[in-house]
Amino acid sequence: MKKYKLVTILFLLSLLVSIFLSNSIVNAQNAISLSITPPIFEVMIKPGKEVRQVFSIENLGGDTILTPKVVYFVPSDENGNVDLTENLAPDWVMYDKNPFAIKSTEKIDVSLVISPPEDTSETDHFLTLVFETEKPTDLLEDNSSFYKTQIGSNILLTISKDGNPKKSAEITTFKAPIIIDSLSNINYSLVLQNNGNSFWKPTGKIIVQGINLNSTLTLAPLNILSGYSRKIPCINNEELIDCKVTKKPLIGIYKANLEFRMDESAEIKKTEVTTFAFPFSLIAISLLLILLILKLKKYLTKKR
Amino acid sequence: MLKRKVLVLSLILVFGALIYRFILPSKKTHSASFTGAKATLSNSRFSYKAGVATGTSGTSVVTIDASGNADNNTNHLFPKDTICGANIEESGCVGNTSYVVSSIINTTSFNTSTALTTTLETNGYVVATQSGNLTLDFTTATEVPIGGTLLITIPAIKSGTGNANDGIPDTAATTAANGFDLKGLVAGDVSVSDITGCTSAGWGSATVTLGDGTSTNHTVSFTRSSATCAASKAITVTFTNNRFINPAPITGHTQGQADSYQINIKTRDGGTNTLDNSDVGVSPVEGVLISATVDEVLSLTVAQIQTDSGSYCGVTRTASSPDSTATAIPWGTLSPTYLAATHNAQQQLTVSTNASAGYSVYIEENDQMGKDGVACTGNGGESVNCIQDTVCGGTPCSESSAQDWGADPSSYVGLGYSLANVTGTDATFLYSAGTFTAKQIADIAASETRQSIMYKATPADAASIYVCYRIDITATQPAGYYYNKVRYTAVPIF
Repeated sequence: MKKYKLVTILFLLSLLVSIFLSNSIVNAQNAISLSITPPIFEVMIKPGKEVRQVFSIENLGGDTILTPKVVYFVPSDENGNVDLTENLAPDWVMYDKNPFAIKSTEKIDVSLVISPPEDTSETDHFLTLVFETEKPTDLLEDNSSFYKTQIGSNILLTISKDGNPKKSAEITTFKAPIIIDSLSNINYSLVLQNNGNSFWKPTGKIIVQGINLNSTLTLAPLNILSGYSRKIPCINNEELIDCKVTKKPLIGIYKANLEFRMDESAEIKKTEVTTFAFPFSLIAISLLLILLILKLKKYLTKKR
Repeated sequence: MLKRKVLVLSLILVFGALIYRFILPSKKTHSASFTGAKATLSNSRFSYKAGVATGTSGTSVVTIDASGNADNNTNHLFPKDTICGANIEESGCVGNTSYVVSSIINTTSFNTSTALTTTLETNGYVVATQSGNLTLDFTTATEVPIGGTLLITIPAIKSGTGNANDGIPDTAATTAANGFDLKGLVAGDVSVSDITGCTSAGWGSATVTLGDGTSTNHTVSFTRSSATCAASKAITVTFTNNRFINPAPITGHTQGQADSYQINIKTRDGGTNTLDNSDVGVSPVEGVLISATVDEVLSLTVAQIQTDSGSYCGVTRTASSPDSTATAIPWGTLSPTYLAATHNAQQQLTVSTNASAGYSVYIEENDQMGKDGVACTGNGGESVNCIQDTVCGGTPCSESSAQDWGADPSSYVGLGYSLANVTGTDATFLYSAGTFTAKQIADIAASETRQSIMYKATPADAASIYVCYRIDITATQPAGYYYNKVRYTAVPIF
């Protein structure tokens, strides 16, 4: 009899445990949650050589099936956004193209081998390794929108025979207001164009000097892809900020010298813009006050 | 007779004792040790000194010799160290230029943050100087009289090459032959603490004698010019202005083990007799680079919304609201009479990334909603058995331009979506610009460009938005099963 009671209690306990466990599994399966590492991969390779990179995909949602593919992307704007194309990577970008099942909380490493043949031309290839969830099956035939989720890692690939691809920069825009009110901040806008064969990052600064100013703004080292231009903000403690001098100018000429290198190349590109600051608003307010005082004086005189 | 013998013996003993006490000891002073004597280096890291193998002007890669020098690998060279390419004479840096280490390539090569402006001498040295200050603490056991001295002896290299004060770290085969380089040490860099019974003024200024590099050590001495320095006085001697250039490891050194050097402190009377004397040790050792790698990662979560309450993009959910899943929004059987509760559904997107340039999430649809998946040519619509993308209002919205769809969308039927921030401000537009400011989903079949719905140009920590879908049809919409496929794509900003 005692044995029977014990078995019953154990059964009930295990039932409770299984209920709780099954609940948590259901919750995990309610979402699609994918992580990819690394999200960006920059590599330079000589034709005839081979490089292997492992990308890890982790599933923190429910069990699913993922299909990998590597497609070309093109910059969709001057801010680093991408537009994925349907053009697949060349066949010397090798990976297992077969869909694979990934369970909840599972992490799978996917190897990508880049092995450009000897005769590959020295150009950049801008690719995205994309993992796409499987198409959901509709059983109810309800009016529906079905959702697929993709997560991708960008691959910036430079092919170079000597490891020194041609790098060329053009300052498309470097401007600041020509005349500015003394109560305003001087804002600089910078767009750089890459006319070379390889992407690069600008390393440099904007030095602003004037009667009461001696400020240095550091350029954000963002990738500028070959054949494209990009707006370059400034950076402060790893945070992207507008290239703006926080201290307000007084009066006079404020010169801003832009200096940058392409990556760590020796060549320094330079240009300069000038802003004239004048206290328009202060003068306007002063004039207004004077007028008001004169009017008031006139009014009071008349009244007497 | 016996008494006399005892008296004579006693006198001999007394005289003997007096002679011993007052005459013989005068030839050697009684010497004691300081108590609590210690030496503290503000920077105990070895200087780095390796032989140059290659380092060509215009490049940023430097390769060192793998043997025969104080350092024969890059284990003790760290990113951000400042290096100098010393010439073989150790008379300065080649090109008078220093460089900063940007990264360590392997055990014999490293990168500099800027290209070398001058080719390094192949018989020269790669030097990363570690310098700092020295503090000596000790308590006198014996009073130092006026005219007495405090003498500090610091080990200097005795290699015979005269490099003890050239500003380049020194190395030798043994610690006995090696030492600290004190280039630039002057009297003003050394001070003695000011305490009652042993004032600093009483010591006067230091006399610095630098080692000759061949046989002598560095010495620093002070002379009591006024007032004595009493016994039991805790004294601190401080060397400032980072004049102490630590030695490089001795050749044959085992990395991780300190090389010990003895600094001698002594006080003397007015002559050369030692009063107190102690050796204190300092032990430079390799620095330890504590590093950890945090992988860059991009995460996207698409979550269902199935609650029966709450406001999403200004629309209140009820029990009759469609329950989305992560992979579908089942609208069910659509009524041509628009009701906020039944014609709106939502999903929640959450993104995290530590990628420095941030991320973007895009949305697209393969086509407009077609009956049984039929292709929706042109603008879609009922005539081609499609539920078209909404135009939102009199001024039409598009996949790239948002317009207010209003509280009652009956005049502008179709499918559209809006956005609301949950955490962060990453939504690219907001429903709250109007009553329900919306866009069309970019239709890939119509060659529209997929649109960003979440964007941030910096790392994001669980940034989250609601994507709020709305649908409406007319009473003349042909009956049938309509569907399309929507795709979210999360990619980093390059």
